[in-house]
Amino acid sequence: MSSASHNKSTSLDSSRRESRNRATTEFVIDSKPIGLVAAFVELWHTREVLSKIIKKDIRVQYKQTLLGVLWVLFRPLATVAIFTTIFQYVIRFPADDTPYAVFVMCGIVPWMYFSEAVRKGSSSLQDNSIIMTRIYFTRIILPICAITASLLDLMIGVLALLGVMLLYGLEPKVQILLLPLFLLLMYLFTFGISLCLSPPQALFRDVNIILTFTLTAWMYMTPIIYPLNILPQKLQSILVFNPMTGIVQAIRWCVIGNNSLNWYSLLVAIAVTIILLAVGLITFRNLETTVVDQV
Amino acid sequence: MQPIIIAENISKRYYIHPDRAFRTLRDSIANVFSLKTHNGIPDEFWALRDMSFSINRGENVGIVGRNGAGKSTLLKIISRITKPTCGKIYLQGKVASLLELGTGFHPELTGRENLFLNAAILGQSRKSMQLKADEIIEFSGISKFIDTPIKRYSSGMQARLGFSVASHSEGEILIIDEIISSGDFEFREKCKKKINELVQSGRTVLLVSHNDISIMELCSRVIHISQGRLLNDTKDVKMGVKTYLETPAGQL
Repeated sequence: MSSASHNKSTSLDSSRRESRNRATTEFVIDSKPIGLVAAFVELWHTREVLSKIIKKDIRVQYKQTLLGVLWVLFRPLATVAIFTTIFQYVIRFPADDTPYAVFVMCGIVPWMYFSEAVRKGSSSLQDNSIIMTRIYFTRIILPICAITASLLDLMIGVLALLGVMLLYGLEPKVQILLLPLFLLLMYLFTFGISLCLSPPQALFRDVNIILTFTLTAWMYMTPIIYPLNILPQKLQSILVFNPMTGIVQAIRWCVIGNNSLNWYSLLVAIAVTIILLAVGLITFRNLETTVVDQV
Repeated sequence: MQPIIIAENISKRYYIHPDRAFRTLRDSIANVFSLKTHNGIPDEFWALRDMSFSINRGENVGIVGRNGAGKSTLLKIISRITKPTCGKIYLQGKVASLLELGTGFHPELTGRENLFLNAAILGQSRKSMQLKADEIIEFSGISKFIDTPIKRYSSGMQARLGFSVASHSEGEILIIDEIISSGDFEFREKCKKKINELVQSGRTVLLVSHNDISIMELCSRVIHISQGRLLNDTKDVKMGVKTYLETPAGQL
């Protein structure tokens, strides 16, 4: 009986295949992850959703806070004030012959974006697990939206930084025009990490705990509150392999411009970013369905 | 008639972890080293097994089956939310699915803001949406509360908005999972009328419902699923629903 029904189904299959060949098949659903080219086409088609969700994220973030955007200014300024008090007056760090407040703010503003966006990007699948299991859309937009919505905070932070510079009577140099390029590098680096971490974080709750701890340690391993050259040579050559070292150094060069650009650490940052993006895309594509099935 | 959905030997396997609400890294690492799950056999469960069928353009198919039969898994695969473990589905058109109440609604945003967000996720352009927005709001019958945050909506109001957005989308295949039953009588009638209109205009509708009457009223074909397998596929809707109701209840 089973063999008879099997024969019947194969003949049915071939007749289906004929009818299918006549019409163009718009989409095939099978067990394999979507092709890379198809994924990019799909991403392009969802650009409107992207902008919608980003706007939603930004609006929701400020909707029920009384001071709204003022909070975005408050956080970096308060942090800078605390660090300046401690490290300029108590411990007396040298700061590349710049007012310490400006020096530290060049590191704090990008770092605040980085740590916030990495945390949001990595939890983006977990945060949106409900909508993921109920409707189909290109899932890669979730980490993209998470890290893009925080860009507004970064922009406001950069403007505040320029304001503080003017207060100290410093004028930006020509290389400030390169700043967007380095911010883009940081954005892509953040994206790479988010792609790698968001599927594991939706599957294992531990990832979030490890990440929170790592980010705290990472901040002190990045020359944010101290200049790289006060460290012993050995430690310096290790810290250069931290991509955020290259990024923060490059941003500082753009804004203050007292030292020359550290090409070596910058190239490390670019290389790591490219590798992370490749690894992240593969991880994300292979795990997104597992996430939907297991959350 | 041209098929719009062709399913070939679809199977879907899930792993179930009975004693854990969620996995931790420790468990997984432990599993890798001991190379087995906690009780020696993997807890797998086949939600769908070897399912094949073909649905033509303009058909209105009711999908029936007891809880856990695999209806939702099937709809999730057709709407691309999850992938089959093996087998293939060939689609000839865009799918707009409405699998659960308030899909894609954000509680902090207003009804109107959600309307645009939801339509964008369902793949509609901003332009066509701006033209249709008034019509959709009118259809939902909640124009009075359209600028109120969704979190203050009742579940019936959310269902109204959800159905209105999905049914006005451009998808050629519309998947509706048990959504109509949450609206009140008046809105249910409106939904039925709308579904009939969509089918008349050549749209394909897949409808899951435990309300046998609405299946009998709306559908031209019934697919009966039991324990992940296709049990019955018939155009005799009355007969199909009757067989479903008379099938003895199995163990879940």
